[in-house]
Amino acid sequence: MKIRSLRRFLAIRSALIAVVPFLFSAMLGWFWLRPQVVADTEEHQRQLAEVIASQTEDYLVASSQTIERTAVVFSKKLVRSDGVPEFLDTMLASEENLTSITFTDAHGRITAIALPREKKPLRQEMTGIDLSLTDAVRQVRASGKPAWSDAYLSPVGGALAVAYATPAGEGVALGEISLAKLSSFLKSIEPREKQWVFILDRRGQVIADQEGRYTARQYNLTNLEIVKDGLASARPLTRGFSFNGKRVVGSLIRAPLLDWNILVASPIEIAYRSALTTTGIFATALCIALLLASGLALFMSHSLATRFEKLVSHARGIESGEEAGEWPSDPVREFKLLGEALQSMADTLREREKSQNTQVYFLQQLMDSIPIPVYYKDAGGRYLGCNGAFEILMGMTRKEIVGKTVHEVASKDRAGRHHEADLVLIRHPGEQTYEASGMYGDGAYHTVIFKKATFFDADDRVAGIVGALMDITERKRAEEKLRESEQKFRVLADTAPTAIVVFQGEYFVYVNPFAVRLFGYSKSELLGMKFWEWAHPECRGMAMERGMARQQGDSVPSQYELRFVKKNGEEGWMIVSAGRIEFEGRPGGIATFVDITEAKRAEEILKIALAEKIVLLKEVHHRVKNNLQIISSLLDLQADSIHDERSRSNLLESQNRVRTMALVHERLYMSKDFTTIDLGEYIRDLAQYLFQSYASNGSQISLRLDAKEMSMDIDRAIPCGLIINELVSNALKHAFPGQRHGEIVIRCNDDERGRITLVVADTGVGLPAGLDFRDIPSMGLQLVDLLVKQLRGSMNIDSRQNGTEFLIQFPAC
Amino acid sequence: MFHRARMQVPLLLISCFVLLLIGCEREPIRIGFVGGMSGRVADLGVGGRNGALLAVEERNAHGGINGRPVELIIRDDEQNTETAGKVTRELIQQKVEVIIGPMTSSMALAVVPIINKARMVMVSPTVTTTELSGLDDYFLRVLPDTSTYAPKSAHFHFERSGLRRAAVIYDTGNSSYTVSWLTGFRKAFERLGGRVVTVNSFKSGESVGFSPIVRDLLRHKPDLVVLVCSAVDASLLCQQVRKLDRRVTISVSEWGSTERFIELGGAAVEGVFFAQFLDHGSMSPRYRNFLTFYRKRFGQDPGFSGLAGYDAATVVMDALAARKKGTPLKEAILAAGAYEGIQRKIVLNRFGDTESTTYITMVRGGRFVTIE
Repeated sequence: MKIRSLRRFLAIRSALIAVVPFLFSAMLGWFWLRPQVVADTEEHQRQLAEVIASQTEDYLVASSQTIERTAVVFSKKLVRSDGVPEFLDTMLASEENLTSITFTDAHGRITAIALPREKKPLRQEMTGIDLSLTDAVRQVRASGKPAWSDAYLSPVGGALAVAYATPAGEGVALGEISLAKLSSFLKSIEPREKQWVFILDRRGQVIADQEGRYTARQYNLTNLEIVKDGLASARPLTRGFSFNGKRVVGSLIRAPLLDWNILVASPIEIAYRSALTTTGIFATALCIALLLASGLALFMSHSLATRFEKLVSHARGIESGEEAGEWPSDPVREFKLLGEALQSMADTLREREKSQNTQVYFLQQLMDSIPIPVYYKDAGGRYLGCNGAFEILMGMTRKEIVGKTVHEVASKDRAGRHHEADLVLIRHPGEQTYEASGMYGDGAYHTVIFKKATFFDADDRVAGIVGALMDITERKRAEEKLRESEQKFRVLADTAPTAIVVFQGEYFVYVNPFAVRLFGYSKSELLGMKFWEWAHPECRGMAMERGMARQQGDSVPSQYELRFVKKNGEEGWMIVSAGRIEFEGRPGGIATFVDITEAKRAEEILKIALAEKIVLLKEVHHRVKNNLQIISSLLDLQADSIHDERSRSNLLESQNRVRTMALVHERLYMSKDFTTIDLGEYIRDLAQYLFQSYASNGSQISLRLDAKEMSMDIDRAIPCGLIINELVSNALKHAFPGQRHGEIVIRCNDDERGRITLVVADTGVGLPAGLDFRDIPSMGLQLVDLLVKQLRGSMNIDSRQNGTEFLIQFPAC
Repeated sequence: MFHRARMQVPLLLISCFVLLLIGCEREPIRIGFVGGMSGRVADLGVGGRNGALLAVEERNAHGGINGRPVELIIRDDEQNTETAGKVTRELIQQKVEVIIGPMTSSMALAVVPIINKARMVMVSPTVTTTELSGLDDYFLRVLPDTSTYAPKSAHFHFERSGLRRAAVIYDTGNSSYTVSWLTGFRKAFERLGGRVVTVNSFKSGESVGFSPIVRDLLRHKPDLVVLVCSAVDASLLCQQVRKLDRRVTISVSEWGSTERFIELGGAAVEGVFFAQFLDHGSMSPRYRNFLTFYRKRFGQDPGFSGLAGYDAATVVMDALAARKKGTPLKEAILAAGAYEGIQRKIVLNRFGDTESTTYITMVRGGRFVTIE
């Protein structure tokens, strides 16, 4: 809004107060007075035309009466024929307007003529001239009535003339009037200075004008609309038109006796002279009044403005905090009241300012406590305030920032962008968010998200912008790293010889080329598939549940085998290794698929082969056991046929040895892996067998078995069994001679060093003193010795009177 | 403030519009006209002026020349060489584009040096003197010279009417024309075997008595009376001739063939012959329209002078309309070739002269009738 001074304001308003009536008067004059003036002028013109018409008729009627009288005299032959020329000359002399008087016969030929003195010699020549085709004679001959002619070139006078013609006997009496004379008459009654006056004939040709110029040159004025219309109608006409390049107002009126038209035309400035003069006086008076009113208004404006300026000066004093003292007193009551009201207002405003300052301080503190930079600026882009974080970011103090535009506090490129964004926001109030980066006042490079919003004044107009800056520099870096990581992942995954997929929600979002090859689907097909759709129908439920659960963070196996179906329907096995992943900023699942279809197939074949082998092994052991049992049975049969006790005993020992070995094979084919047997159980079976075999004194000898369960392979079980067989057999046979009671103890355990300790002891008679078992010819003990060696073990024999103890130790494997 | 601005804008627009209108009022093209419009020979000048005026008014009614109105500045030479020179200079000073006129040969001979000096093109409707034929000057005309009419008249009367004794009366007031005409007639008539038995002259004026001249003429017993003068004088001479001799053949030069001749001559001009370019019997629509408009505008018939005035104005305005910028008007007029006149195509040669068919006309029943 443009501010103007009170003086100017009052001056303009005061001038308007004067000008409006002036304009109103002018409009009144234009719309009411002017038509009146025009009508008066036109009426004046018309009256003038009527007067001139009347005067012209008066002027010419004498001439026509002279002609009429002459015609009467002539037609009644009141004058003798030889006296006619003299009579006519007398009549012509009596009427100065007439230039000739002519009488024609019935054919229109001149029979008598009176001419002015200077032309009298032509009288004879004129006599006999045919005037039948002249306008005047033709009219009278046609109508039989008197008439005034149009202008014509007179054959009598040789100049332009009009004529009054009237029947005279069989002929026509004709009196010509010179147009020059008529023009002179016109000039005498209405000089040219005021207006043009034209007498026009029935064709519109000028019969007379004040100067005679238009008459002499036979001007025809039918080019003027007023003339054209006037000739067509007998009604008086008044209107404005252009004549000789001037605007004129004219009236046309028909002179009834002459049947001619009188045109009076006045230049506008003359026609309206009186009206213009009146208007000029009126306008001058109005202008003077206008000037006086304006002067008075200016004086009043000055007086009022001075008082207001005093009040303003005092108000400025209060505003600047000076002690302004009392308000200027004014004798005018309204100004005094205004001063008091302003004083009261100033006091109120001080109180309000104090309150507002407190509020402003609080708000500033509040803003400063906000850890992110915040500022606000007016609609013109000037900073109104900011918080401490913003000061730190900009590297400027609040005082340095407030009142400046962004162009003054930021680099040129950044300022331009922020300014443009501000303009857009002002145009479209609301919120605005955008990202910007650059070097800030704190000397660091920041990437910042600007969040701006408009705020409004009490009239709901945009008052400015409040903005907050969120530093996302670190986040951007993290995002960049993530992007790099993802890039690496993609490179790795794209080149990995393992199928790798990433899924989010139900769908794949990434599949590597190997996955495409694995499933046979195109990449786009896979990306359109739910992540469990490739799984075998039997496994789909599990794949879906685990995939979804994994994404939700539930604990599910990270590796498992799964059946899958390729696009071509081929089925296979894979090892799925899955985990969670952040992919392109969103959580999801990642899985690698290792195709183990071939390995599975090999395993199946192996299992079948193993089963076959187990059956075979079992069968072998079974057959060996059977064969050994057959051998044992054969030896038993053999023994039955041998009566030699020694031989029989040897066979029995051999049978037991075979049986011992068969027991091992029996245990073996009953074992799980066909390679090891439980040594404890074996020893128990073997001992029971030996006790049954030597059952003759078995009731006197008890067996105490302390054998720990332990596995042992066949290579060790058989020597171990043979050792036990030899030692227990030896004890049963020899330790308890007679009916000696006793006990055989078998202990077998292993220690932490992996050595197995086998103790076979008895409470028998003991070994003969001084017996070295290595030297004795007994095959049994020799065999034990050999077997201990085979077991890479050691053997101690403790032979006492109350028994013998064989302590054998050997490595477990 | 806002309201005031709102008021100022329309006021400004109205001011601009008014200025635009003022600026749009285009300067008229000024064409001068010189002719004798007062006195006894006024019928020729008035007719020529009226014809030119009608042509200009019609042209302005159709938008003027290239959008500019045409203003005809009319000056009366009063059939006076001094006045003719004066008004011609006036028109040159007023910087008219071209002058139409004058209407008589005497006036033409008086003003041609002036227009040649000023390089002002002048196109005459009715000047037919041979003295201006074949000259490369600024004087152009739309009618052929008297060498066309006078011999035609001589041939007609000698061969068709069998007349052998011609008596001539001519007006010395326009001797440039009348002598030229007379010379052409005499040469042709005598070459054919006829004889000009007497040649009388007079100077046109209000106090001239024609009966002595006619009486003297008829004393030589001519079978053909040739009148080389204006319509007023010719009609009065005819009246005198007929008073003394009702049978002698009268022939009038084309100068006298205006409508005033019949009006003033009455029955005395019945049977009078003319050799002129105007075909009164033409029924062409163009001519008939012209007659209608002329009568409506001026309340009388145009006659040959009105038609010639119209044709001269048409030639001038057509040339102005067709002229390219920078082209001198004379070149533009001559370059245009043929102009569409009321009754004929007007073709100007390089000297600005033209040719035309000559018709033999006679007065019959108070009207001009073309007989050959």
